[in-house]
Amino acid sequence: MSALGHYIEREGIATTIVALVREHCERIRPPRALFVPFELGRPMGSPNDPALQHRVLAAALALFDAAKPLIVDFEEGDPDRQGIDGWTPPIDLPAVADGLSDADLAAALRAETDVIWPRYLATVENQGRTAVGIGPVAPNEIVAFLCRSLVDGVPSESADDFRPQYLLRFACDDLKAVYSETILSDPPYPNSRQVADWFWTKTAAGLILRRLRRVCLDHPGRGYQFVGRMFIMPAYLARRLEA
Amino acid sequence: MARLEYIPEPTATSIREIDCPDLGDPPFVTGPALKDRRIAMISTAGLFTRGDRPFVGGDADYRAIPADVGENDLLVGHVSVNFDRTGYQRDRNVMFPIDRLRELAAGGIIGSVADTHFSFMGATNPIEMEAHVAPVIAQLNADRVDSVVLLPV
Repeated sequence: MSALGHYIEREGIATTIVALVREHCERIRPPRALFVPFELGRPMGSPNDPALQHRVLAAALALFDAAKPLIVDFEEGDPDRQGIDGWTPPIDLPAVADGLSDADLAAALRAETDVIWPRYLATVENQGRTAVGIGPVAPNEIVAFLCRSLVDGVPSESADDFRPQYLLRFACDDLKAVYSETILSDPPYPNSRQVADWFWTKTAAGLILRRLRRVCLDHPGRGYQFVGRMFIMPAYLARRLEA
Repeated sequence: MARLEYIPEPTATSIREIDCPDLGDPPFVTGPALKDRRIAMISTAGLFTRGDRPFVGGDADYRAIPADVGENDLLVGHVSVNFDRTGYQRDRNVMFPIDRLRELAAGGIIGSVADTHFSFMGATNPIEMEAHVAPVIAQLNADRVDSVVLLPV
């Protein structure tokens, strides 16, 4: 990203970057950088904290007054780092037994989404937005698509303009978003690690994605292997849960 | 949390070892006072509008995002699963602070907000991205943009 600062400024347009990784900035040396201490994925800090977001933006924009290239540290910390002690998700889901067959795990996901889906739809209606829908599989087809992929095999071809492994990748991302949007509809808000821990260890959805990740890793095609290695499960959780 | 010591392994090591090109001394242009600047945002979250083509691994090109994109019509298409999306799901301004920028323009702190913003997908070789910068520059110039806020994830 810092490289874009070089490319754009070379063409006569001034740039300032809100940088999340100071080490990259120090190596690439963009024209102006504000280093912020927030989590990856949150360059502007906390959601629904416009005062903090204004302070971040103001600090980044103030660098346009500088007389020479510089990297500056944002002086505040990350308010979301600690999470909420004792957080539990605001929804009761059917318990998922260990060691289920693929068919039974698929059935468990269908039972679970019978609970999640109405809550998700209510959240979308209340908030007027959703981040679900990145791929060509329609949101209300995602569960059936993933169950089919586990029980009958991952798709070997795609009618859309994507390689089949990307259909799976998009559907996995969308399923995760259905769950996180549902449980983040009301306060108190856990931090992202708490959401991830819950999703990947306590839900049938997380378990089915973990199993699909394994299917991808064992697939003869390099495309699926790559998706399994990189694009389904956060690396820190794969190391902790799947080693 | 994005201080490397707070990022869990093996992601921290992967980030630390990313190959960063040597681009030399940074170019540096001056410009008008902040209250007169016209500002665009460029994200590397792989943002795209609903109905546009999502990013896939290795995509070095960009997507244009109209400033008036609806809250329900901006999606995160980055291939990496190693950054948080839950903040964005609650408030798009965490990655794409269009509301904050508009407020600054309404308050006279900045001159104006660009009509069009852009997103690339990080985790792409920046050298490959460079080939796609020229059309972005052309659109920024056509929109009379003189300043850009870069927003990685």
